[in-house]
Amino acid sequence: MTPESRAMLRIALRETSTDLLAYFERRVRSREDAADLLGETMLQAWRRTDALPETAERQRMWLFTIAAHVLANHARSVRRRTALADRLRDHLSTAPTSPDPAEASAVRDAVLRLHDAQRELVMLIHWDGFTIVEAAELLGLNPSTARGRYAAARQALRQALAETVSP
Amino acid sequence: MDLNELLTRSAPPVTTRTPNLDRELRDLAAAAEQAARPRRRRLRVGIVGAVVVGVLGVGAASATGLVPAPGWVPWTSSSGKSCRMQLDVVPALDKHGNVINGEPLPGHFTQAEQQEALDEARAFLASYDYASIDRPAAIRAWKAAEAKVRASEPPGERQPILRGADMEQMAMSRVVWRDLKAHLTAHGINWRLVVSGESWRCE
Repeated sequence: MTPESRAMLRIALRETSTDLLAYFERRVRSREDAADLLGETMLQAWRRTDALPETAERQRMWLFTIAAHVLANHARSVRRRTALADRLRDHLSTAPTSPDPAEASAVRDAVLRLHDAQRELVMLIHWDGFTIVEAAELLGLNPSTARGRYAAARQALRQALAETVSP
Repeated sequence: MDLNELLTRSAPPVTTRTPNLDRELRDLAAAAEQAARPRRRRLRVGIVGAVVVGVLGVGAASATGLVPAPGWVPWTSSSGKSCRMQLDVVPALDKHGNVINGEPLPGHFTQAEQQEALDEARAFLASYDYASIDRPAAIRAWKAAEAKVRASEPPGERQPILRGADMEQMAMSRVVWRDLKAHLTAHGINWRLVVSGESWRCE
C-alpha cells in the first residue's frame, strides 16, 4: 500500500461515501444496517488498496462492486454490528431524510414487484444514477442482455402504472 | 409525468446530506483506514500481491526432518539452509461466479474461464524454472519495495524487516507471481481469477 494509493482511496471514499450510504439505505430495512454495511465496505476497500483502479470513474465502480458483495453477504448472514460504525449509526437514527413524494410509494411497489433480474437493474439506473452499461457491469451482465432486461422492465412498469403514467 | 421521472422520484428516502453527515462519513472512512492497517505479515503480502494461504515459515521444519513432497521446490538459502517452497493458486470464484477468494472482480466470468485461468496458472507454476530466478536482483527489488512500504507507515506501526531465508523466499516468490501475472495476461486471461498462496520451510 503506497501513500499515493492511500491518498487516492481517501479521495474516492470522500467522493462516493454519500452515494454508497444511499445505496445501502435503499436496500436494507434499517438505516442502522446501512451504517454497518458502509463501514464494512470501507474496511474491505482499505484492505484491498493495492487493487484500487487509477481513474475516479473506475474507483467509483470498484467501490460499488465491493458494496454489492457486502450487501449480498449481508442478505445471506445474520447482521453483524461493528463498533466502527457506531457514530454513523447514532447519527442516522436521528437525521432527517429526503422527502418521499406522494406517488412514490405506488411506483416503488411496482419496482419491487419486478422480477429479480429486472428489479436491481431498474434500481441501479433510476435510484442510484448508473448508466445501463455501468449497471450491467455491477450485475455481471453483458450490456446487451442488460438493455433487453431493462426494456422488458420498463414495459412491465408501464403496464403496472398505466393509470399513473401519462401516455 | 413520464416513466423516467416517476422511477427517479420513487427512490426510497435517504438521509439528508448535511455537514454533520459529511463529517461522520469522513470519520468512518478514517476509522476504517486505521482498522484495516496490517499488523503482521499482511503488509508483506500486500507487496507481493499474493494472498498467503498457508505459510509455514522459517523454522517450521518438522521434527523428523523435511520429507520431499510433490510440488515442493528445493532451494538453498545464502546462509546454507536447506529450504523448499510450494507455490499454488486457488480459484477466485465458485461455480456460481461468487467471489470466494481475493477481491471482487469487475465483470462476469464463466466457470470455463475460471477453470482455464486455474489450469493455466497451475501449469505455469509446475513448469516454472525456479533455478532461473536471479536471486540477488530479486532481493534488491524486494528490499526496495519493502523500504518504500516502511517509509509510508508511521514508525510505531512498521513491521520488522525480513531477514535471512524468510526474506529470500519472499523475494523469489515475488518474481514468480510477477511472471505468472504477465503470463496469464499474455494469454488473454484475467490474472485476478486466481489467488496465489505459498508455503515454505527451512531446516
